[in-house]
This record gives sequence, C-alpha cells and structure tokens, in this order.
Amino acid sequence: MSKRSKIDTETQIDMTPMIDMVFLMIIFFIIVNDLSQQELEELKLPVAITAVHDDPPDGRPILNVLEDGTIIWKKKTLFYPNYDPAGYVDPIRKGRPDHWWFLAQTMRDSWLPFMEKTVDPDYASLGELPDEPVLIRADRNTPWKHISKIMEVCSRPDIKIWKVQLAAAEDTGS
Amino acid sequence: MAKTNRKFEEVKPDMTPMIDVTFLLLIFFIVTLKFKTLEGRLDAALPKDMGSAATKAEEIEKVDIVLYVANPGSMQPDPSTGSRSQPQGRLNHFVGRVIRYEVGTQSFTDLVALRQFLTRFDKDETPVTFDSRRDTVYGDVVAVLDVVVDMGFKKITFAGTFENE
Repeated sequence: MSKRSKIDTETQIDMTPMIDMVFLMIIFFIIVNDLSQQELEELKLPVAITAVHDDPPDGRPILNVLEDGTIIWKKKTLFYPNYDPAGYVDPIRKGRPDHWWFLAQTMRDSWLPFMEKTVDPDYASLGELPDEPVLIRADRNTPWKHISKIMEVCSRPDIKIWKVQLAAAEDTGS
Repeated sequence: MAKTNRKFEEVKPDMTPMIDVTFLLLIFFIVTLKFKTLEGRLDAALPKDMGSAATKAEEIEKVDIVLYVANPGSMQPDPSTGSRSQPQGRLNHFVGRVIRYEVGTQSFTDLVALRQFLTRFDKDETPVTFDSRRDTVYGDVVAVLDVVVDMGFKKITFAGTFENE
C-alpha cells in the first residue's frame, strides 16, 4: 500500500523562488539598461589622458561621426557622403551646393530654441550667442575634414554655436 | 455533493505562460544590455567672430598649430580590438603614421618636442589654434589637443581652412 501511494504522488516543483529570482533579475536589468546610452553610436574613440570624465548634461546634442563621415544624431542620419543638396546653397561658400543643409536645419530648429543664450561683453556686437556645448563623437579614423565641416556649419550666421566638445576615451592605463 | 466538491477544490493557476513570458523578458534585457562605456571629453571653442568684422584690433601672442600628414602610414587591423574569431583585430588603425606639427617657423614630428616648445607660453592667456590640413584624422587632432589640454592651455579654438576634397 505504501509503495503504491509513493508511485502515485505527483512531483510538484515549487516554482515560487525561481519566479522571484527571475523577477528580481528583470528589474535589475531594466534599471541597469541606461537609456541615455542610446544616443551613442558604436565608435572607436581615440584615447586621451586629459579627457574630463563626461557626465552628460540633459539635452546636450551629441553628433556621432562615423569613419566615412556619416553624421548621426539620436539615431537619425543628418548627413552622409554626397547627401542630396536639394537645391540649397552654402551660405558661407557662395555658389556651392549645400550638402549639409539638413544638419544645419536640425541645429537651427531642434537645438537652438533649447539652448541658453548669453551676450559676451567682448563680442557685444554679435548679440546673443548660444552658450551651450555640442559634443562631437567621431571615430579615431574619421578624416578631420568632416569634423571641420561640422564646425563650419556650427558657425553659420543663423546658428553661431561656438562651444564644442570632442569625445575621447579615457585612458585606462592599459 | 457536486457543490461541496467544488468548494474544496484547490484553485491552481497555470504558471507556465507567465514563466515563459518572464524568461523571454529576461533574455531580452540580458541581450540588449550595454554596459556604460567610460567616455571623456575635451572642451574647445570655435571662433566667435566668424563672418563679421573682428572687434579686437590689438595684437596678441598666440600659438597656431598646423597639422600636416608627413607619412600617412598604413591601415592595418588593430590587435587591441581583437576577438576570438579575429585575433588580428576587428577595427583598423594606422601603423607608422607621422604627423608634422608646425608652430610659426618651428616644425616638430613628435609630441614631446612640441610640448617642450609650448612650455614658454602663458597657459592662461595664450590662445591656441588648431589648423589641421589635408588627410588628418580625428585621432591625430585629439592626440595634440590632449597634450595642449594637459599642459593647461585654456583658450583652445579650431581654425577653419575648411578644405574639401
């Protein structure tokens, strides 16, 4: 009789601790998954010993520049080589097609309205200038001319962003 | 009879779908997890008075560093980015690359000499301008910028000889 009953006993695994653990792990991963990292493209940054540790301030625009010059902001491509100028003309180099018009437009319409503006007493004649930086993250092998072009776009008369930060990897001593 | 029977029946919710979903969620979060990368930045500024008449007339001492590529070097896989399947490296870097730095009439090809030369300038007041020419890459500029920032120069700008093609 006792033998028989043992055979009939259904083995019930107690799932409760496992589910508890799994929930805890899910919550851990949700918290650790830093959403602010979403703006950073995967790039190999050059190493700099003096790089200041970067605590990203809210709302600072980040421009990712890939090796071929493609410019990405918040997963949105603002420029790639031979971007369609769509009839726009470069305001600084008169007569040339403006391949960077979309970048300029993004800066003007999506960044400028949210930037704090101040008047520099030394350059009072220039009026109010945006006083917030733009972070440029480029691959270590990105030709400088692409970054230089971004800077030129920043300095266009209708934008006038003058603070830039260049991203670099912190030297970990390896 | 049937009624009392029902009363004593233990209600056992079926946990299987919930555990399935939970595991899927768990796997999703593990896979999408990206560890916070350590990143730093170097601050700089662009010329403010571009495109308009300069308001300052006085001559001030300044350092103008011009970067030229003396030897472009060759692109080779970087072993520091190697993985098990590609031990030679996934990403490329330059080997044997030489950059020439010109400050006024002086010319340097290594950063130690440039650093030595720059010690004579007032770090708080002297503006440093970078002018990097044809074929220089981001890494080249950051390498010099790193030296200049490390020396304590405060006023750093980039000049524009926006060369294209």
